[in-house]
Amino acid sequence: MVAKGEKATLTYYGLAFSLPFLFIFCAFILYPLLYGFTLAGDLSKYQELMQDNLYSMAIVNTLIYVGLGVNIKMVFSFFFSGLLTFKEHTLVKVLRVAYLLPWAIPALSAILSFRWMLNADWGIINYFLVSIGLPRVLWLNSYESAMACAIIFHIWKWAPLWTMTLFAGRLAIAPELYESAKIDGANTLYELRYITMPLMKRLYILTTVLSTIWTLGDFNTMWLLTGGDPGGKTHLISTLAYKYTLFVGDVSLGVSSYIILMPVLFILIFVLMKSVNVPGVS
Amino acid sequence: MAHNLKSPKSKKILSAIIINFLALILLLWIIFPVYWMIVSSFKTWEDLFRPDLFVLNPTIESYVTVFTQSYFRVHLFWRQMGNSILVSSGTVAIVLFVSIFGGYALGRMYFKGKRYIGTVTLLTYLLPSTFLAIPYYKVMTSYGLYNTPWALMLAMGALYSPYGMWILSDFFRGIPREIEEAALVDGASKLKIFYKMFLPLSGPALAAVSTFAFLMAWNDYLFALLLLSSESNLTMPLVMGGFLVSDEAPWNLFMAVGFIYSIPPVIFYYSFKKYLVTGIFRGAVKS
Repeated sequence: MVAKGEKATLTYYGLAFSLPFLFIFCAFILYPLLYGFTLAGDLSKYQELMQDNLYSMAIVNTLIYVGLGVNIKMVFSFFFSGLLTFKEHTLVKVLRVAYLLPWAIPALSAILSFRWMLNADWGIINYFLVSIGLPRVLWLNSYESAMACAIIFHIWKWAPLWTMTLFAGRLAIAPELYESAKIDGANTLYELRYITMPLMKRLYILTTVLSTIWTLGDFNTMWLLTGGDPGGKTHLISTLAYKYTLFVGDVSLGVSSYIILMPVLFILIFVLMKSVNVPGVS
Repeated sequence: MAHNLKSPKSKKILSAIIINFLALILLLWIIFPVYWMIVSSFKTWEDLFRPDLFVLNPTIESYVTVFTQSYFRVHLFWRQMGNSILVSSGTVAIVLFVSIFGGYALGRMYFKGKRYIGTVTLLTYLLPSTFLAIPYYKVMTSYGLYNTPWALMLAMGALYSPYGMWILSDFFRGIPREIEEAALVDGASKLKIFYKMFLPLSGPALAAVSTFAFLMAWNDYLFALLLLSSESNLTMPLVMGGFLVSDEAPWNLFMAVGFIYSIPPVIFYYSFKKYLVTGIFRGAVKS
């Protein structure tokens, strides 16, 4: 048992050590967050948003971008991480070293490179299409292909991070399970269905939830790849909110356009907070 | 043939072919955009518009132009590169400072309210930073930090400290209790134990935290876009974003800048790769 006086000292020490975090949290997270809510209190802004066609487009686009982007990326990462477990093959060894490159290089460098590859006149992708007898595509000039390019870029840039996480999950599965299945004559598909998938299910769902939260806030990809064009039709909520803030000059319209995401976001954050350990208490 | 395909040996060869083939496709997918950036950066202006997959007449012309700042979009290259370095190292310093103390409190101390602090770190980590960006635009102005590197360093310091606190709290928790008790018996104070014993041991964990904070800050575009205004204060991502609205398009030069900017994070990443942990899901992963 700890004496009462000592307990008070411990609390004092604990809070003193947490002070830098508490300070920076209050000044740069909590206050801006509350301030954001006060900016979003003007109800006439919502009327304005409801009448804005670009805003309803942006909601649909966000659903498409997050829905397709996250799910394709996660399924892709799941199989990608599986391939990485075949470490006895030469090319897999190389891949294990190289696969995190898109994650490590800055988003801006990567986007510049994609914009150059997608360039309508001189881009390598159109060169390739023409050389096999197909017509040029103006990738960023039509709604469908611009959206597709953004989703593909998102997968290229972010799949490695989730591949790494799912790969760590695969390595944590006891190898004996696979060994005994092999002895019983199980094939790869059987192992996938009855060992890997059930044991990875929880991690897969949690990573998908976290990735959904972060992708809802993804601004760079769409802003720098399409800038909302053609005709403002490819805006996401995040890019349109920014446009309202800086180009229209209406900060409270910018914050208000985010509010529609709040319920979704809070549910997802709540789910995650219930499912992972609270740091420091375990 | 049909019989051969079923024999264990040919089955093994077949699966080796399939696996290596898939790995090759993924390698091309991963590497090509980076390869194309590097190749284009070494091409001459004339070669740039030909689709050769290799550099036929390699030139460092683009790099010279960038380093001598002799093109108007990079006329402040060194200054703006310096801004990026300043903002990233400042963010690393703030994250380290906050998470060394906070991580020690979470990992090694027992006190009332610890659970709340843990929950708050989790909430901060989960929040997409975009949600704070627009309020920052106003808040940083009222703090008098608008258009200064401090605005970026403090915003990112706050957002990325929680992750640092977890890595360090896990690390501190892993140090055996007996060592600490022995020191206590010898009459060392709690503070002395912290900086004489725990801090010197925490090198690898500090490397992991620094790598994470550096990569995040080096990558930042949105905060810089909202919180910086004068040209001499811009960080490199904003300068690179400016290339995209350019009427002129010296893509070899743009690719050179993109490549130069990629070098520090890639070095950082590959040097400290083994210390990078899975973060929030480490509990779920350990099973």
